[in-house]
This record gives sequence, C-alpha cells and structure tokens, in this order.
Amino acid sequence: MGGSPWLTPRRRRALAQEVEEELQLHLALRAAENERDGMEAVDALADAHDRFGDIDAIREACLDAEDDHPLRLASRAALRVGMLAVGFGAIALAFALVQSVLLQPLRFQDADRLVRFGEGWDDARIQASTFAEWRDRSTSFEILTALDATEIILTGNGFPLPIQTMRIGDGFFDVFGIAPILGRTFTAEEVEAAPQPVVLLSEALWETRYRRSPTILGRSIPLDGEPHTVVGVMPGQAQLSHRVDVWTPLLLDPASSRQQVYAVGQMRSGVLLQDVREEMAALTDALAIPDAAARRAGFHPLHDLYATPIRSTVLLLLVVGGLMLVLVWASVVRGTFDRSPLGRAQPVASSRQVWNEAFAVAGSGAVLGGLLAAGAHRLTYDVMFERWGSLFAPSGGAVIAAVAGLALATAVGLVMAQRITAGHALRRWSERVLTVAITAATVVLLVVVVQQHRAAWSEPVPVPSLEERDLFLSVVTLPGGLPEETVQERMEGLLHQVRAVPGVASASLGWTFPIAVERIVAQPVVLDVGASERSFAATIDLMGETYTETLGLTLLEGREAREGADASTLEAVVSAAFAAQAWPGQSALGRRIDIGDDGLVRTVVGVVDDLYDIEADVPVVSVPYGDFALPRAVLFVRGAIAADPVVRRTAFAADPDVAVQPFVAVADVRMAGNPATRTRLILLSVLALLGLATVMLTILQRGLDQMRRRGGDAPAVGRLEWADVGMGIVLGVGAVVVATHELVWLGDLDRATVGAVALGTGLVLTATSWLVNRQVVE
Amino acid sequence: MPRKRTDLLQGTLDMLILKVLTLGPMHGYAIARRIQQTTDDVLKIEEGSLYPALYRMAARGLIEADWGISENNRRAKFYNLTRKGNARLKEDIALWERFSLAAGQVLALQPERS
Repeated sequence: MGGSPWLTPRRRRALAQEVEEELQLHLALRAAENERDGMEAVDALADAHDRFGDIDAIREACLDAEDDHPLRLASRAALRVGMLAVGFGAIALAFALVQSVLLQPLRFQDADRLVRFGEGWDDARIQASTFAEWRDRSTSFEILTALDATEIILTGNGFPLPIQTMRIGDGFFDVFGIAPILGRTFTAEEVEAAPQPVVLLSEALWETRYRRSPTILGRSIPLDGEPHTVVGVMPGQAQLSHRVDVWTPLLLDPASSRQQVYAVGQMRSGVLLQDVREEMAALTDALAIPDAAARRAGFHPLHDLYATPIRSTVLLLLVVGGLMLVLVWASVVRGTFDRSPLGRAQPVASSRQVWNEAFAVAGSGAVLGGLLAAGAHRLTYDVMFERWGSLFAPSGGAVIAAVAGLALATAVGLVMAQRITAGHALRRWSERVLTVAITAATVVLLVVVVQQHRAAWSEPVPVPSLEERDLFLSVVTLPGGLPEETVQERMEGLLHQVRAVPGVASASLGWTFPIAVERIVAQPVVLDVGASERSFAATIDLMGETYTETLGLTLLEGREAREGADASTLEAVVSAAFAAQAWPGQSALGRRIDIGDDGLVRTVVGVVDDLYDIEADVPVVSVPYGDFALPRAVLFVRGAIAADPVVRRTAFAADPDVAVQPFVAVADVRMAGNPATRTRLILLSVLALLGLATVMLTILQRGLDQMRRRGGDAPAVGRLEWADVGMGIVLGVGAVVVATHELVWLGDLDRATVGAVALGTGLVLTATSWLVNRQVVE
Repeated sequence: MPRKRTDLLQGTLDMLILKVLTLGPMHGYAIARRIQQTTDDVLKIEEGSLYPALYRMAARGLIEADWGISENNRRAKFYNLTRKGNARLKEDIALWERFSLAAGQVLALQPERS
C-alpha cells in the first residue's frame, strides 16, 4: 500500500476493489456476530451498517488516504506551488504590461509634456519648412526638435556594416532628458544649419564593435566613407522604439519642399495640448500654409504614438493572464477539497496548520510567480514589441501589491476549499469551469499551432522554375550619396570579383527575393503605349545580368533585358502570368509598356517562367538593374561553395566600403520555419497537447470519482462532459476569431484549420468521455 | 443530550490502533472489536472511521498489510506494526502520558479557602 508513490489509474482501480472487499468483510463479520447474539439476519446486517457509518464516504476517504504518502504529499505541494507560480507569473506579467504601457507615463523626464507633431495621412512627418516656422514662432514649447532615420555603412574594423542611423536636430536628447554614458551630445553649432562630421554611438555598437574602449572619444570612424568624430556614447534607453546604432546631426533645409522630418517637442510647464492646438490653428492662419487643411497637421501626446499600437495586444495578454490564473485556481482548489476522513470528522490538521499551509503554498507560488514575471518582463518586450521596453517605465510596486492581494485571496480560498465536502455544488462547478476553460484554451493554442505549423513544417511549395540547390543570397549596400554611375560601376566591379571566386558558377543582382516576399505590392503599368493604352496592375522587380541563369529561371521567350543606352532603348521582361493576363493568346514580345518611371516607355524583350510562389498568378515585370543602379540590392550567387565567408571575404577585399550581409541559402529563406520559429512552435505544441491531456485527465478523474463514490455502479457522466467540451470549443473558436482580428501576426483566419481543430478536439474528448463512461459502467 | 459515546480524536485513534497491533497481526474488524472490548465499550468508535485511519497509516509506513484468511474463511487484510510505527507509538504514548498527567493535575485543583 505504501509502496509505489505513484497512483496510476489501474492501481487506483485495484485499490478500490481492495477497499470494497475489506469493508464488505467488516460488515459480514459484524452481521455474523450480531446473529450469534440472537438477531435476525436482516436486523443483524442493518445494525452492522448502522454501526459502520456512511460507507460511501468511508470508501472515498480510504482512497484519499493513499495520497498521504510522503512523496505524494510533497509532489502535490510542489505541483500546487508550481501551478500557482505560473498563474501568478502570467497575471503579474500582464499587470506589469498594462500598468507600464497604458497607465503610466513614458519613462522620460516630464513625459506627460512630450508630444509629436505630424501631418499628412498618417500624422507621421512634417515638411522641414513647416517645422522651422513652428519652432521659430511657437511659444508653447520648451524644446521642439526634428529627427530622421536612415541606414549608412560603417567601415574599418572588419566587414562593412550597414547600421541604423538617426539624424537628430538641436536639443533632441534634452527633450527626453537622456544623458550620454560617455562624452557629450551634440552642441547647437554641430547640428542643423551646418552639420559637423560628428557621431554618437549606441552602447550596443560601442560594445560589439569597439569592445567598450574608453578611448573611443575623439576617434574618427568612417561612415559612408566619410570620417566622423565620436563625441559620445548613448545608453540603451536613447534608442526609443527602434534600433539605432549611431546618431548624426540632421541637416535641416527649410528651403527644400521635399525634405520631411519627424518632430517631437516638450511643452512648457502648464501648457495643455489644447493650447498647442489653438496656437497651431492661429499660426496656420497667420502663415497661410498651403494645403494646411488637407495635410491635417496635428499634435499628439508621445505616449499615444507608442502605446496605441500595442494597446489591444496588452489587453489581450491581460485576458490570457487572467484566464491562466482562473485555470490554476480551479485546478489547485479542486485538489484541495476536503479530504478529511469521512468528510465530517475532525480534520487531520489543526486550523492553525491549515492556515499555515495555505499561506505557505500561496506565498511560495506568489514569490516564484513574481520572479518568473520579472524574468519574462524584458523578454516579452523584446519578443513582442521589439525595443519598446526602454520606453515604458517599470511598474514594480503596483504589481507586487496586486500579486500579494491575489496570494492572500488564494490562501483564503485554499482554506475554504478544505471545508467543501464531497458532493458540494462548488466541486461540480469548479470541474465544469475547468473543463470549459481548458478546452477553450486548447482550441486556441491548437489553431495557432496548426496554422503556423503548416507554414513552418510543410515543404515549400515547389517552384519548378527555380533551381534552389547551391543558390545563396545576400544584401549588398553601398554608401549613400554616390552618383548613379559610381554605384553601377562599383556594383559591377563587385560582381566581377564574386564571379571570379573558384566554385561560383554565376552571380547576379536583383531588388528583392521574390519567393520570400510576403506582401506583394502591385502598381499600375500602362500596356500597349501608343496603341490601345490600358492600365494593368503588376509587381515591379529588378533583374541584373545573368539573372535567369543564376536563379535557374527558364526564359520562355526572347532574351533578358539589357540596360538602356538612352530613354528610347529601355527594355523589360515580363513573367508568364503577366503575358497571359495582359495579352491572352498573343505574344508579349515587342509590346510597349510604361511602368510609371516618369513616362518612359519600355519594350518587352522576353518572357520568363513564373517565380513567385505566394500567389501563383501574380504578374511581374522585371527591368534591368542598370537602369536604376540602386545602392542597395540583393546579390544572388550560385555555386557548390560555402558562400559565407568565402564570397563575402572576396567582396570585402574587392571593395571595403560595400556592406555585404551574411549569405543565406535560398532553400532556408523559403522555409518559413527557421530554427527560432520552430522552437517557439514546439513549445506552443507542447502547451496545446498538455491542455488536451488535461481535459482528458479531468474527464478520467471525474470517472474515477464516480467509481469511488458509487462503487462501480455509476450513472453515465458523458452528457455533462459533452456540454462542457462543446461550450469550451465554442468559446475557443470565438477567441480565435477575436484574436486573429486583433493580432495581425497570427495571420489570416483559416476557416478550414479552425473547423478541423474544433471537430478533432470534440472527437478526441468525446471518445475519451465515452471510453471512461464505459469503464465506469463496467 | 446524553453522552454515551466518547468521540475519539484522530491522533488518539491512531495511537490506539498502533497499540492494539503490538499484540500481533489483525484485520480491521478485529482491531475495532479489540479496542471496544478492552475499554469495556467505553471507547465506541464508529467502526467505519477505522479504515481511513488504517489506510493513512499504511501510506505513511507506520503499519503494513498482507492478505490472509479470516475466521469466516474469507480473504482479509491483516495489519502489522512496522518499526517506524513502533517508534511512533512510543512517542505518542509518552506525549499522552504527559498530557494526561498535566490534565490530571489541573483537574485535581481544589478551591482555596480564604
């Protein structure tokens, strides 16, 4: 009896039979003794039952007594603490996010006075001239500053590195109250009117590229080939919402009608947003800014810029955290229901012990949960909201108070649960809530997992036109500001060197990697220019020399497009889908099209096989890379070689100013499931299967309880479970519909997946219920 | 309400079971009868309450059980005291004696006459 610490369903069943046999023996012996004392047989048995007490309760108490094995007691306590830790951790994390993202100001000084100024359809940027007028005339602001973002190339010290750059105006860091961790920020003389070649490094770049060298200040580093003097290093908090590697001075040109900048400012103390808007309206009238109404210029609290996009996700996390806590509560309380012998005798432990145990379990769970939440807090920001964690102030005190309150409520609940006896309605309802909630959560998880698995694990859709083997790609970037001829010359020089690498069969340039493009943006193309002109939507791509050969793409008709010598000799190649849709049943060759590049007309000289696998019939028109000579392109290399680092080193040796990002195999790019995605999916799958197993075990447990209480003569319990499971499935599907509507990253709702998961879950759980019922009845 | 029965505290019941088992292996019914007979039916326990206590003590390793044949030739589970159970019994008896001594001293108090 006290042997094995683990009670399997089979062992429980055998135990139930032993208990039954033993209790029946007792009754028989007592009845026999009564008869020897002169009682009639019927009275003797009735007296035996009377002396014995409630046999159902005693049977259950005997089976519960088995749980008193020290290992079982310890594992049950550990399980309770662990479950509470997960529940408290989830809700603490959700509380912390809601508190810091939605309820508290940003973590900058005087954050409630920070605003952004934007115009246009998205209220994002403003014209430099408008900004300059505003800054000069407005009296509402302590500081008003402009910024812009770009990518430049850092050379020296290894491979050229494309780095994220923020160009900032005067007083930028003063707006946020951020000080450098080394050196200084820019002076007024160094920015805007005549920017100096000075630079501020991010702490991350200082660490990775310069090993936190204290002598970095004053050192000259080449950015886009130009030497810049490092004047300071900024802390991580200065990155705001996106990765920034370096900050350089912004050249503000109010005379330019094309320069657009982002603008942020700090209102003067006591000034309200309404005051700023009224001042803006007055200034707009006074300045007679053209198209002012159309541009819908406006000021908004900076908090809105960062909090609004993630508000729904944070609230959803709060719902998920709350749901997890309810699940945990239901499970833990269920395991704490009164197990005292006979259900009405004195509890084994004294009242003080019961309270102490409840506080110990709830307290340990809360402390562990708090630690889990603290560990997951930063991770959640990094995984879900990129770098936004540095924007929001931590919210320790409120969360600790909330978790402490929940722990207290849990302790009281645990003590109360010990007084809820067998057959109490609360037991039944907690089990039903548990089944409904876990079924719903399982359906949600399964839908997400199945939907993501299909993308991550299924073999990529075969593209017969693409020969993937030995095909690699990288992104190459030249320094900005170079003349078009120079860009083309250096890109060609780079290609020449790469093609000369032993093992490289061919190499070419493109604009994108069409297979991996998730959202293809079509733009209007004018067909048959000069004849029956009509508009047609197509995707535009760039195609370098030997593009078809490098990608193993079949040229169905004609030849590759060549760079035009002048505006009258421009060429293009169209995809088979383009040709079939634009000129059904006719040849595409010799057709004249306008892709919208300033009214220039191109002649179609070739038709290539369709390459895009996202939408099989997407029409594509490819124009020569040389016609545009963009400083950023995709470099394709074919060859049975290790493209990285061999080709990359060669490229670096040939042109140290060109940034060549690490090569990846095309086959890997096409697999949506990279290792990180797959790991995440495995975890989600395990959670989903655990949820399913939990519901099955709950059903099984309910069946065993019935067996115990009724001694095998149990009514079917299936109907109740089917109702609970059905409700759980309906709730789960509803949650999926809401979640896919709110969370774009989940992807579009796949009705077939939802239907299959709902049906499969229902079938599995119904089958489990049926089997358990059969066992109970037998 | 007349108090014909003496309710047994849980810990006391455990101690009595352990003590009875020092006489040798017994099945549940025999244990219950022995307690009632020895106390001249003063300690009448609700017989069923014995079994959860037996199962709990077995789970804790204080007693162990083997199947045998009862006096009416039916299969019965016979309980034995383990070494751990014996040690626990000694502790419980010592505790009980201290408790009853203390309680006796309190009950022996006489009101002081001024």
